[in-house]
Amino acid sequence: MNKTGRTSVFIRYALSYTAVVLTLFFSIAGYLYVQTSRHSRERLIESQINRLSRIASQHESYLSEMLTTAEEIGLNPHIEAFRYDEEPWKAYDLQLQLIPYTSTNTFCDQIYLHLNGDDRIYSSSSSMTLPMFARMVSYEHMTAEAFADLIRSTSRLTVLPSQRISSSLLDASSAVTFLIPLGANPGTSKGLMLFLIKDSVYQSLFSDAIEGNVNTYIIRDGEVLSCSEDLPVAWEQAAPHQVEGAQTFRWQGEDWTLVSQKGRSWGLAYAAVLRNADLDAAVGREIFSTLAVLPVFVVLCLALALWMARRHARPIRALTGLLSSASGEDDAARDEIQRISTGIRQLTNRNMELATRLERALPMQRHAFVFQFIKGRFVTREEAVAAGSAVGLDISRSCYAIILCSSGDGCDHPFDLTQPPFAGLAGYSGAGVELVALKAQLYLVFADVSETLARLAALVRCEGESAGGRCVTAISAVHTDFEEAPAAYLEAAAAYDNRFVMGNEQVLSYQDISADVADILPQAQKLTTSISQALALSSRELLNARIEELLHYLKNTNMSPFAFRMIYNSVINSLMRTHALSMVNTENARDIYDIFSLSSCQSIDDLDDMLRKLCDLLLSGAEVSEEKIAPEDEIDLVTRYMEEHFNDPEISMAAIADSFELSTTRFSLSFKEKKGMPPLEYLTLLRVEHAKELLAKTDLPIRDVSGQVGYYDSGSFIRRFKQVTGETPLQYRRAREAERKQAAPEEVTE
Amino acid sequence: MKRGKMLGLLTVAALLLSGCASRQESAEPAASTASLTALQYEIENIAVDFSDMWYFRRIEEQTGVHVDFDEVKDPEWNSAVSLTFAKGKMPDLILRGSLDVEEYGVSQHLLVPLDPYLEQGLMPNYASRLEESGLKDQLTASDGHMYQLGFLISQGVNTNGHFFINQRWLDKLGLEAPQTVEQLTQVLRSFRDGDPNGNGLREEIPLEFTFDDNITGIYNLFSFFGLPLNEDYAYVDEAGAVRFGPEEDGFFDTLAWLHQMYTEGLLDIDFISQGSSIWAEKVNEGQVGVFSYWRLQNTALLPDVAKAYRLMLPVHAKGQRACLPRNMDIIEFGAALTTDNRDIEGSLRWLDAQFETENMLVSQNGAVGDTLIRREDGRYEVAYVPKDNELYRSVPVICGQFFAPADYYASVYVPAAHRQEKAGYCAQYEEAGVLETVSHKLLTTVAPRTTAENAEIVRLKAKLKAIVDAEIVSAVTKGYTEAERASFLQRLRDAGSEAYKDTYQQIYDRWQGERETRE
Repeated sequence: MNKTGRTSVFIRYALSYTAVVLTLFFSIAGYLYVQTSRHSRERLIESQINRLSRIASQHESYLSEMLTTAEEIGLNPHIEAFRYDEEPWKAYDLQLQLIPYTSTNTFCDQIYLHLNGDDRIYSSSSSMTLPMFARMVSYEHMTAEAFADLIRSTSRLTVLPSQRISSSLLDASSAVTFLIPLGANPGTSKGLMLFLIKDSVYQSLFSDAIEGNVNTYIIRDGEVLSCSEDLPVAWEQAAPHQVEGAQTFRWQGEDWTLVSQKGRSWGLAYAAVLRNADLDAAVGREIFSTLAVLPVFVVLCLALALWMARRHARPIRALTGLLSSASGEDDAARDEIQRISTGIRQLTNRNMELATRLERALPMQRHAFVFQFIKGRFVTREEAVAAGSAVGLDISRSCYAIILCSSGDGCDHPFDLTQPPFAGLAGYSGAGVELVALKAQLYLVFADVSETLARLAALVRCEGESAGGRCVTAISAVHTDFEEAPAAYLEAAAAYDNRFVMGNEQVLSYQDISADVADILPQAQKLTTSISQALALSSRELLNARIEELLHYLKNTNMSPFAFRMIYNSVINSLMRTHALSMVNTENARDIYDIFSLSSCQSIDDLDDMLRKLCDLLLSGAEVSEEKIAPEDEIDLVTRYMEEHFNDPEISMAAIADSFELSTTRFSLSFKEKKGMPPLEYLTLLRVEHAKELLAKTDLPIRDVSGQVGYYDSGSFIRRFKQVTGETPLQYRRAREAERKQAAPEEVTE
Repeated sequence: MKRGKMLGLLTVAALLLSGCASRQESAEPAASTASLTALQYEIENIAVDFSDMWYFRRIEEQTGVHVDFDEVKDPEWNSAVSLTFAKGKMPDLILRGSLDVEEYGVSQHLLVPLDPYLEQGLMPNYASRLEESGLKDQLTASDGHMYQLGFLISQGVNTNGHFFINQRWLDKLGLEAPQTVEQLTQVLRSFRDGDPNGNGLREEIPLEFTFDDNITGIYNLFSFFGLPLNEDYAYVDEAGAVRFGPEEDGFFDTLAWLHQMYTEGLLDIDFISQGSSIWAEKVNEGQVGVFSYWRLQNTALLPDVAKAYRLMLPVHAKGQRACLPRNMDIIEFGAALTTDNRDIEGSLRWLDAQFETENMLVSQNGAVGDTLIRREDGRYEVAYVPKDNELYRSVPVICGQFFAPADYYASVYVPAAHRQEKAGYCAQYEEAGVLETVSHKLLTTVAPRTTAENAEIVRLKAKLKAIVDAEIVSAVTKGYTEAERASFLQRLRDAGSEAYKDTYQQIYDRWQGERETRE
């Protein structure tokens, strides 16, 4: 549908990525070309220098061998100068002496000895006169006589460069000749050694040249001893440019590179000549081999770029599609970015519309929030603050109160507390709802200081009166804990009900009627605790007994309906919070109980019915929970164990944890998670409940009761019992006895 | 002895039966091509696929036997043979190279004794030639069986060094060829003093020799005094006793004469130290009167120089018969059949086909009509020799089978001129009776020796040679007295000359005994 637009976005991405890839490619390629070119040339030159070093090392080790041979022969006491024509038999011994030296030399296999004063040459296998030897060697550039004279006169190391020979003595067409005086001290030499080195041995030294496009030279005192010449350039052309390292020179229109390396001794030097064109070609090949991989890399990168472009274009396309379908437009002419921009503007406008609508619905939401708050539906303070914030109420203030105000004639809707005259106050928030049944309006108000709440109540009353004449206004006590919201409602309702006594000249305050309730609540707390314990022990029988106790107490105490409601509210709220974990369905509990239904209870029986239903629900929820949620595990086993052994004074939490292979800490946490209380508390509860049974139904002394429920020390038992029940065991027994006595005549009467 | 003969007969009978059995077994597939495997020796510097060689395809066509070759080069041959026998899976045939038949045939019984099959006539070409050669002893193992076929190219060479004298000088000086030591001495003096080369300088070298080799060395000169001195110094006299040359009178007589030659300037004293190349250089300078050499043609000598010389029979001292060491044909290992052989009859047929005259000559020289020519007289002649071992592409040459005793070879093959020259010299020396009666080669090469005996001989020879050579040098250059002679002999004895002789005597006697037993 939007082919033009889609292509546009895709191409934009593709072109961008491709541009990046190509820029990187050319940058890298350029860098590599420059670096590789320079380094390749340096490396090639360096490899030639290394090669020359290798040749030098090898060659000079050979020379060292020869010098060592000459020195050893010179020092050999069995080799002495003699004249063959006078003592020919010594030649036989001499040849035997020469045999070992011939076989140990690796550089040359032709070793000859000349002794001073004698005119012969000896090898290990033959001997001959010096002139004959000179004739047989037959150098190309030296006469036999000159060679013989050279041998006779040489007293220092002399090297004859490679030259052609035609000799039956040497299986070679050319050779390098070394004349080395015998012994360590040339001046006292008794003769000299001749080493005929085949030029092929030198050629094998040079044979490691790569591709053969290099001339290699071994030079001594400016004279070439031996060389391999694969290139047309001669040493004479290169020699003037000889320096240590590499030097370029030009000859016959071509550039050449001369690489030189000095030897360690004997005035030797080693050189290689290369054609620059060959070097360039080698460099080019290396660059090519280095850069050849780049196109592959680029192709891969381009493919990746296209893939990424496609990947990035896809959500934009999807977004465009969404915006198009939302707006109903199909404008192919515009590109996708423009359409997204337009779409976002449209969405913003729609959001604003929605916000306006939402604002209009705000009173209803505030209405619901107020009811939820008063019914105590928010589990935590944070939850309540968030919910208030959602409906535009900042309730994170230090205190709150509930105001009830009777609806005047023609004034059914509560006042908007954000409008004047309320807006003149600071540091408050709140909202009002209409209580149709009571024909009253309820205001939930929060303030930073408690005085503001009273002022608000006064303003509500003034406004009510100004709107409809007579107006009854009541306010609860000031609360800080959000959990006390139902109680606050009851307080406001109680104060409101007090209008018949107090009149309506002023704001009716709960503070004025709250004295008797303060006395009742501790007792209610005690009763709540005993019901809660019965629930914890999951004993229906015990629970019924505790509820009966509560009813008995209520029936036998003169208290106002408000007091009943407060006690019940306290009991039920406490039970719901304490046993919330065991409740399978909290909604059911809320159906049974909310503050408005409680406030509408007219008799104790209504309240009793509500309490029993709730307890049943809690108890059955706990049973279901135990049956369905958690199959019997270690904690169940521990619970059963404790129920069976609570009377064992030796029982300890550490021992129980050990026996079930649990760590004490983990055991304690797991138990609390499952049972809602620590294991020790559970055990104490078990012991106290049984103690109650024994106290109520037997005459056993307290000490014996203590022993039967697992206490060694009756003092400890009494402390624990009082901690749990609020009474000492003796007080408990007497109270039960008094109850029995009171009940007995009635039973008789019936 | 009787028991030994009985056992031998039983063995032969068993082998005959097994041979019959194998013939019966191989009779069925005879029409079709049998396939065999062979461990084939190959010289180091060639690389040839023997299985695809023209020559062996020709033999296969003739015999109906196909052989797959496993070529082993010379350096690896011995270890390859050892491994082959050690691993237990042997080829049908082992061809050329060398083989310890005593070990693998006599001791381990891994080779097939071939003598029963030869007697059956399964190898007519080879058997007849072997019989004529008189060399069966060399191929017979210590248990009396023949486990191998021999390889022999006999060119009738009965001695290494022949004496040559400068005929031009003799002619110029009007001298006859000498026949005695005294005549030779006189001729040498004439050469020294008569300026036979006519340049006015007294630079002639009447006697030019090297030291201790048996071609150009002075060892040959001991023959003038009846001593056939060889490199091992041991030889057998006509009575069958082993002698140690340096202890003989002829040794000292020769030294005395050589000292005289040296002192008179008739002997080039360079013989002490010069090698053969220097020797050749001097001879080629045309200043030498007498020397010994293999032959004149096709050697290190320049052709023009060679032409100046003629063969000289060894001269003899008064009351002595000249006596040079005698060479003899030594048979090499040709082929053997392992006991894993799957077709003995086919194997022998395939091998014998190679001993057929033309096949055999072709195997050495190439195809007839190409490198080999058949002359009108029925003999074969080499047309030309291809360079760079080209022949190995088509024929096995030295790696093939060949058995040609001297007479037979001469009857079927015309050797090259230089070989004919050598053969002619040998014939003249034989005719002149200047060679030892019993070749020392029987003692030093043919008669089998134990490992211990061999080690002892090698050890003693090194010590004795040092003493002997030093004595030769000393005696020739300085002469010797009777006391020095006695001292020398004592040193020889101290170095173990008696043990050396005894060991050789033991080897020779044992071999002779076995030979007589077989006969």
